[in-house]
Amino acid sequence: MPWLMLGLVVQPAAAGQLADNATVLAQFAQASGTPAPQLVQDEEGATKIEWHGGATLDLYSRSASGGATLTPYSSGRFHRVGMQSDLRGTAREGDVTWMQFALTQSDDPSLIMLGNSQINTLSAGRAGQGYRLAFGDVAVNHSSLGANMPLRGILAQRYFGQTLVSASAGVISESWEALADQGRRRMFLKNAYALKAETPVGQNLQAYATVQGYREDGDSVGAGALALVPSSGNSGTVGVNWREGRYFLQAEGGLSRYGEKGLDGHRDRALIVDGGWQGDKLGLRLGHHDLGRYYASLSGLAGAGIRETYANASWQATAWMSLTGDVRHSENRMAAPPVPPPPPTIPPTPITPYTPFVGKTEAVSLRAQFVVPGVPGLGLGLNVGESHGKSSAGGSNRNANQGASLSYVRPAWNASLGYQNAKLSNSVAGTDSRSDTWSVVYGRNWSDATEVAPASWMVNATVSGSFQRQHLESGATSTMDTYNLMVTGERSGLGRFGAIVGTGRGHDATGGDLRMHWYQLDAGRPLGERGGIRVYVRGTRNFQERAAIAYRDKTTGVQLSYAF
Amino acid sequence: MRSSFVLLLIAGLAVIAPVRAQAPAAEPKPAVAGFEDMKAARAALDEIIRAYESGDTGTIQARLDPAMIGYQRFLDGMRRDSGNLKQIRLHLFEANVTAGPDVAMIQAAWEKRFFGVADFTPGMFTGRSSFLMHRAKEGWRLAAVSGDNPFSSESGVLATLTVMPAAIPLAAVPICAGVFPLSIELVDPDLAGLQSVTVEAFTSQGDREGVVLTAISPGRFRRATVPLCQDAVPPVTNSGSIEIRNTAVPATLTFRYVDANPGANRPPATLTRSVVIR
Repeated sequence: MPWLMLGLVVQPAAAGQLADNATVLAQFAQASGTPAPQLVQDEEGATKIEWHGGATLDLYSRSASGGATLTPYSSGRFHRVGMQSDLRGTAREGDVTWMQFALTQSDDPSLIMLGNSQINTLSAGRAGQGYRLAFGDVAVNHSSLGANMPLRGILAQRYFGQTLVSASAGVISESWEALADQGRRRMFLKNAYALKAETPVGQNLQAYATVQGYREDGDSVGAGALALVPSSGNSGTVGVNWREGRYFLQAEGGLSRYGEKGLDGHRDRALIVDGGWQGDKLGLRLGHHDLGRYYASLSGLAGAGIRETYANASWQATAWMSLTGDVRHSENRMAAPPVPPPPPTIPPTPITPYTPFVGKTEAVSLRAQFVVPGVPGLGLGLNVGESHGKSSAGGSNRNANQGASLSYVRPAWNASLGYQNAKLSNSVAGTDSRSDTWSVVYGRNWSDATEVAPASWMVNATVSGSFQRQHLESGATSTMDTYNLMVTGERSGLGRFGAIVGTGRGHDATGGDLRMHWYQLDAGRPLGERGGIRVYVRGTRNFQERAAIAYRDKTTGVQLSYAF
Repeated sequence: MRSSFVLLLIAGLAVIAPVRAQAPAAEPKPAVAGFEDMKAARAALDEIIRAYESGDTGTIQARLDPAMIGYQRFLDGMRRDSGNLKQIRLHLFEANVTAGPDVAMIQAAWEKRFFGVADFTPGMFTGRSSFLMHRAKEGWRLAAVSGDNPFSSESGVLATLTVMPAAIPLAAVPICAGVFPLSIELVDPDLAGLQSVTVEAFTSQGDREGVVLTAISPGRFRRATVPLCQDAVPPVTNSGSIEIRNTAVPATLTFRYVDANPGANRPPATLTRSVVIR
């Protein structure tokens, strides 16, 4: 399939007509709903080469205990090397050729579990007016129901007149390392392709069609490594983007075919419609999404088995009050088992319903923001929301939450007080709960800044507290109170420092005592114009009084960095 | 696979020349995302993670697009996690970032550690996700999570099914009706809160039974023994015992679980594990 994609790129390039600047920018603005980017002319007559990058080296020692279920950290001396490079050449006509690369190398298993190096980004390509060609890590962003995912492969886009054609092909894998080494794969490699054609229809309407498919390579993981059955899927979609004045509408429909190796295949469909009206002070949005349970696409946006309808409004009611409201009905069709469970069981105990708290859900939420005109810096936020769900098995659930936040910000200090309440209830006995959380924050800063001169030094201190109580239906109560002090400072030319110390105390629902302590100290200073050094120590000690859940870690290290 | 991909890159580079020849003069500088964009997108994701760990669903809701597909399922699952799981710590590692002009796709493995609210039993889920971040007027916003969803129960994480041992000598299988020490473990974070779950067992000789696994921690179900036995007569389906006809070995015993919500925007996925009896 990649060879087919390359063929598509080469053939049209010889005969295609490129759109002019105005056309491209107008289409960009219409498709994205945002203002088109401004054109910047470079100095004439030269290709501009830019190379930016950096490297960091961390050397650190850590002692940790508690086991893998409680902490990701292990004891030992570790290093971490991070490198990144961004090389770009900008031609006189504005075309950009780029090569980006970022790599992490470390022997710390909490950073890289398998192996000791990880390519974080690998991308190269060229883009100019009317075309774009990218290799390596490419972001395929065709449509909501079509293709919208990262791919390791190739992406080619080109305008033919006013029609944009985009083609991608490659492999979906967990990482470059998993692509190269079967021993680092935890999922099947997925060979994928995606095509899109988009063209304007009149002044305000863009229409597009997409085709995409994938096939999982069942031999790409070792025998017995994965219990999953390899699958394949193909889909096609058509859609429109319309914008006229203050109105906008986006709609897309798709059909798909999905199959698992050795099992029956499924055909399914999907439809999304989102529209609205944007005024100066009022914005309205309405939408309907309906995706079949077996709808198979290459889009991370297209959650299968969802049917939902919503209305959302944002209103700047007055200079001191803004409101946001949301009402929606949703159905989660992934909630029910797709095949009937076998009737008898071993042993013959009653089967717990698959999940009692999903199915159809009605939800409403409202947020309000207030400012006090006569008191600059004083603000109040309120939020309330509730959802009520019912499952086809007869179960039901209700989530309710309310919150308020009062804040006051002055040049030299700030303070806030918050409250959150959450209630969860459902038809399964003994699982209801109610949580109340209070939080308070006070911050202060000092510096030598004046009205005419910037600060040469500054110190910030913030003290915060959080107090949570959770009441369970069983009558039990769990609590957790936490206190945190954070101090940061900076002196120009000398460096910066930071310190955090905190503690938490409470008890769980069985009455068991819970105690936590944490701290972090770090200080850094520049080395020359581009370098820097930082030393740090941080640690946590949690639940040391209870051997079954006790864990702690302490890390001491130094970091050297260089950027260009 | 590696060699074909290198060939693909080389062939693709060869295509640049003819495409470049078509480029017109005096045209705009196209937008190419840089490391600063990737860093900003990652910082926005980290902020959402910290809000999730502290149960601050209001902050997360404010950073979601109301047109997000599965918006309510995502929020409700997150609220349920906030009520049922305590001291959540989400550890991201092995991150890979792919960025376009207004989109960033962050692929990462994750480990979610927590304590159950009722008895403070520690638990851990693992997965791998792609976080789709879109640049909006107010900054980077979470547009979707594909792959395993670490943020909310029932929003989709691929289950894992483990059966040990993978082979059983017929001589070790007791005569009907007996029990055999066969370990079955299913981890499905989407089912956190349930007390038991049923997997299907069927043999190549035609038997078909349901096996109940019991929760040992939120979303983790286990069973240490199964009623597996041998007999000379053909098996009877749905009898409550997995019967192996000892005159027709080798036989294959397969356990099947359908993950109704496996994440990755994947339709319901079938997981199987087989045991050979010879």
